[in-house]
Amino acid sequence: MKTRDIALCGLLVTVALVLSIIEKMFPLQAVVPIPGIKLGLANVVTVFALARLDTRRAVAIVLCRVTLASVFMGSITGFAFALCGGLLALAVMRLLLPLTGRSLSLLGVSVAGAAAHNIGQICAAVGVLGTFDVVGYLPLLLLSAIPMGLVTGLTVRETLQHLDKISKN
Amino acid sequence: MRLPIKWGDCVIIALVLALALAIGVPFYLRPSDHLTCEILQNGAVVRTIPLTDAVEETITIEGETITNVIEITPGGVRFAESDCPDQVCVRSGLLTRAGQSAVCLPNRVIVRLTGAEAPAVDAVVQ
Amino acid sequence: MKRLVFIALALTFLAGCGTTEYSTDFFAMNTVMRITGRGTSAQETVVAAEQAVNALDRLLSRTREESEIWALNHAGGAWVEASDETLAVLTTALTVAEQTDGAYDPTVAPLTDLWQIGTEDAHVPTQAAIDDALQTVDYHNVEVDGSRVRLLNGAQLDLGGVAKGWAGGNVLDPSSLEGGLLELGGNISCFGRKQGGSTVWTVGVADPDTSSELMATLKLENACAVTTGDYERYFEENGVRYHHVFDPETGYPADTGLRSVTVVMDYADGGLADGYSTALFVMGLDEGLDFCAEHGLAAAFIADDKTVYVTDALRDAFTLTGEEAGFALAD
Repeated sequence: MKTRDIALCGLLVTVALVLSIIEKMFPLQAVVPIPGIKLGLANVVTVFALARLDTRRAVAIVLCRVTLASVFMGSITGFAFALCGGLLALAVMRLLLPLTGRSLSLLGVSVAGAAAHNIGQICAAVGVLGTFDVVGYLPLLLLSAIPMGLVTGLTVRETLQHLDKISKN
Repeated sequence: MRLPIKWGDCVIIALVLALALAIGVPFYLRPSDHLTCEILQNGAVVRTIPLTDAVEETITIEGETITNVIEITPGGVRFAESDCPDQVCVRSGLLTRAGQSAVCLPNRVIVRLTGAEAPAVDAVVQ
Repeated sequence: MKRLVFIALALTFLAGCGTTEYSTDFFAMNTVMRITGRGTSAQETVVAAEQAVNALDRLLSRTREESEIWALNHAGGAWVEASDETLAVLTTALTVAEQTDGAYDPTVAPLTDLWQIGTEDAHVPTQAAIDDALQTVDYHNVEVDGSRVRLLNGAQLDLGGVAKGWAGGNVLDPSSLEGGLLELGGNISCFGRKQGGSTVWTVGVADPDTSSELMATLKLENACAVTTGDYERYFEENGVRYHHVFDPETGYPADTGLRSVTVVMDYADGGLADGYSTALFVMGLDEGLDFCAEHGLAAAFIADDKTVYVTDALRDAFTLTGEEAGFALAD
């Protein structure tokens, strides 16, 4: 059991890492000139971990992913942003996930998570850059969180449904 | 692809939108942000000073043989003193708008103002 | 549907990962320069352009002992082999000299050295000294034979009047970037799209009295703009301003009632534009306007009384903004 868990967590960290690297190619910095700013694609893994594993492991995965991503892409400020964004997203989604059912689905949870991810990043930016000016970018980021959250939410939903189908057979 | 979105999801989306507006409106209605002064020596930026309401700085740039004294105030930036032979830098006067610049050629120093708003012109022919 | 979404996302990511913008500020040809480029590998391309300008400076500088111009000026009339770039710039200079009947003349170096404008030793020379300097001033003294050049009668060559302009149109290949802007000592060249996607660049024209202010704007597309004026390098004595644009015939700064002349041409014709703007300033208003009409040049002349004469070819691209400062368009 334990080995399988570790393997699974390792796999999820890898997926999150790859997603981090892919989303780094998206030129968000051209529109929002904060070094290390990200859309939050890697949250897909956080949602999945919260849904299928437990909170502790999800936190561990986020911490591992953020640390490794900073090592690979060499950005210290990026570390702070990713950490705040990733953990705040995790916290918000952790709170909302139990409420899913008839009135709420994974889509809403993901959108809330994406929004929290961006709020976390901006908060870290205010701390690191020492100016409130960056809050001016939050409205744009929040608007992007809606489609972003929907995409990640749909991805996780589909993945979970496929997994359920497989385990049923 | 099915998109069975629940009312709770819509509530969240609406909340995020509302938050975006709540932050956006007061932010974009604020009066324009400040200018930034960049000082370059030999092509590289050596100092960046935002022109805030209370800035009052005098910066001395020493080259191999020439020294420039640059004064920065909320009203603008200028070469206050220079011991270069042509004094073109000092004669450039006070820079007050984004895009303006003054140069001390002998000392290879460029002083320019940049602003967050899109500049009125891309360049000036002179 | 899922596949479409994935492909759309993938394409958006990939499309974004190419374009960057890079600028460099540097000093060359005795002035300050800035080159900006946008596109994939913008940094490499712009840095290469900067190096090309520096290389050109090393070839053409009149004051550097390793330059080809120095070699030519000190060859005592002997034939000197010249590189392709030097020949290209020289040809441009001679073409303008030929067409303008010497109003622009690349052999005015002795006058420049005599008057020393722009240095602490600037002074009004005696008539005798001026006559002496004028002895060798004549572009006909420059002979080109294939890739060889020689200077007759002790003439001295100074290509500073076209070098920056030529560099503007030749150091950065427009097909290598999405967009680019070269600001070489006040000469402007632009091509492609600027940030925001538009192909129309807005270039301000300096007010001759207050060069940090603008009196007009130009709309340029894959073009260059050069201004020659009496306000860039000068000294004043007894209330008279002596500027750096000499009349090759009199040996004195051109006194034609003009404050500045701005010429706009295609991107690749920077050298010609540079030469023409000097020539037109020396010719004066009437002769200058005639010349522009003959050659279809786009130019703007600012006269002493702040009246601005814009040739037909430039009318659409020119917008006067300095009305408050007293500038007015001529009819």
